[in-house]
Amino acid sequence: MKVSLIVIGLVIMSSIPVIQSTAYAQYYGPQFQGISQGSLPESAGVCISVFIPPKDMNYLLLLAQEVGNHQIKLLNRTQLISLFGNVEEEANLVHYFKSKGFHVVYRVLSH
Amino acid sequence: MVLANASLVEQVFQTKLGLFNDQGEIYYRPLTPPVVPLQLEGVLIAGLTNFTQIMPEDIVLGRLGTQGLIPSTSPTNYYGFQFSALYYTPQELQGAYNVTPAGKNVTVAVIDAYGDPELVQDLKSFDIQFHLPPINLTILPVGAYHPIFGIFSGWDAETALDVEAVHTMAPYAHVIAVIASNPGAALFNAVDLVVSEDLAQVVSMSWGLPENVIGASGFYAYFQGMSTPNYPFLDYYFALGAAEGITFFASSGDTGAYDGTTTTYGGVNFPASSPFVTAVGGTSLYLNVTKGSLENKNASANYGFETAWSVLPQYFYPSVSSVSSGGGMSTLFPAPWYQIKYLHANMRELPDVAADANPYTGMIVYVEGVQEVIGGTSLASPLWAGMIADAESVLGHPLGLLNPAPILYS
Repeated sequence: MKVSLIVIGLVIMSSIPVIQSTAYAQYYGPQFQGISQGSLPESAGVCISVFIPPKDMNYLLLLAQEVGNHQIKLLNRTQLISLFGNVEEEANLVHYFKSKGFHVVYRVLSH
Repeated sequence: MVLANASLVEQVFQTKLGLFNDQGEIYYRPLTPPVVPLQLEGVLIAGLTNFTQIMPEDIVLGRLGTQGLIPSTSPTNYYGFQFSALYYTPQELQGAYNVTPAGKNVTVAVIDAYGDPELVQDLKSFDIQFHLPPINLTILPVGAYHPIFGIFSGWDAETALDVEAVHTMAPYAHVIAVIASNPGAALFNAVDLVVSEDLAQVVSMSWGLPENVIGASGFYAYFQGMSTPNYPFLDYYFALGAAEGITFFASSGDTGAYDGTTTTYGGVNFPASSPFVTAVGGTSLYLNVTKGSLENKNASANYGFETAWSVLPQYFYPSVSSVSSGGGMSTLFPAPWYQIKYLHANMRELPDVAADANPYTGMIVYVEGVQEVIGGTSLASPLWAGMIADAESVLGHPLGLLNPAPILYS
């Protein structure tokens, strides 16, 4: 009886995907076609773009609409960064990529 | 934007990058699903492949030689034995649109990929040939700068066209050619840079991605744990730019109502379909010549008439769509507030404005030292950008998003 319960348990658990400790998101890439030409040379430069979404998307859409309607004045760069820029997140990401050996081409929120 | 060699990228994302050849286009991509490190939670990552479905929206009709216009042979676009076309100089276009050359104290950014290795020399030749003041031009590469790729991919002509068309309409404006390192996600990096640094008052983007293939492009994302399938991830930068008072223009496309895709419903281009971008469609422009001649490139002219750029019988395009102005209804964006009232629309409709785009009524452009006749909505977008730069120069303040009342929809 115990053995059969263990076996059933193992069968059920085998259908649960293994959660990788380092991964949090699924990668979605384009639908690819083409014929393989081998590996990308190890020394080839690869640019990685990192986009940090604004802090408050709903408020941003509201403000953009109000500015578009000339209901409020234009916002300057400092105001935009203060309202929507995730400065701390950018600093963390820059630190992470530098620690891994990446060259940071540019950052926008803090220079 | 960060840069590393391939082996380091492979190590961090736990994958291998392979090279592929898709009908002559060489690109790299991951061979196995990459693992996104925990530290990158909540952000959007692009660049693990340089495969792209973003296209420049220009059409090179041919080059001008001593014998006149020599039709472009690659791709072979021509049926039959007859060939005739009109082509306009900067002065003729200024006359057609009743433009008083201005643009002082206004900066226009044109966003392109790869660039044109001869851009500075081409602009010098353009200015001398057409008696324009020397351009105030800044070339701003974003990331790796290899303009030689522009020659192989056709982005050299696109870049030259954009800069020269803006300079035609606003000869005294400062033009920044913001050059992305590839025609994929790096283009959105360039938008990000212009918005984040508030580099320009007017932006022209003569490129686009059919909304119908966005789902297959990788340009959709999870945001705060919620899936946003088929939603172009970069639209928030246009909202940020609109709040900052930047006027964005984007080409509506050159492949008609289906946007070059296999569909019976229709299709439009992103970023032209963004509610915070003014979409520019195409026309065929005909002038009223008052002095000189178009053939001798010395005409004085004013506005004759314009028709929507539609299919020309002698023009063949080997695809599911015709060669004509793009436009229709977005499948991604609901009708913005400024369209609901006047168009009774459910979805964002485009284009918002139009200008000359028919390659058979195209503009003379210097590309790699040669005069070419180029059209497409790639011409229309920078023409509008230049005209708005003139208006802002005279008014002394930015106009921002043009679409809401009282400027466009009212």
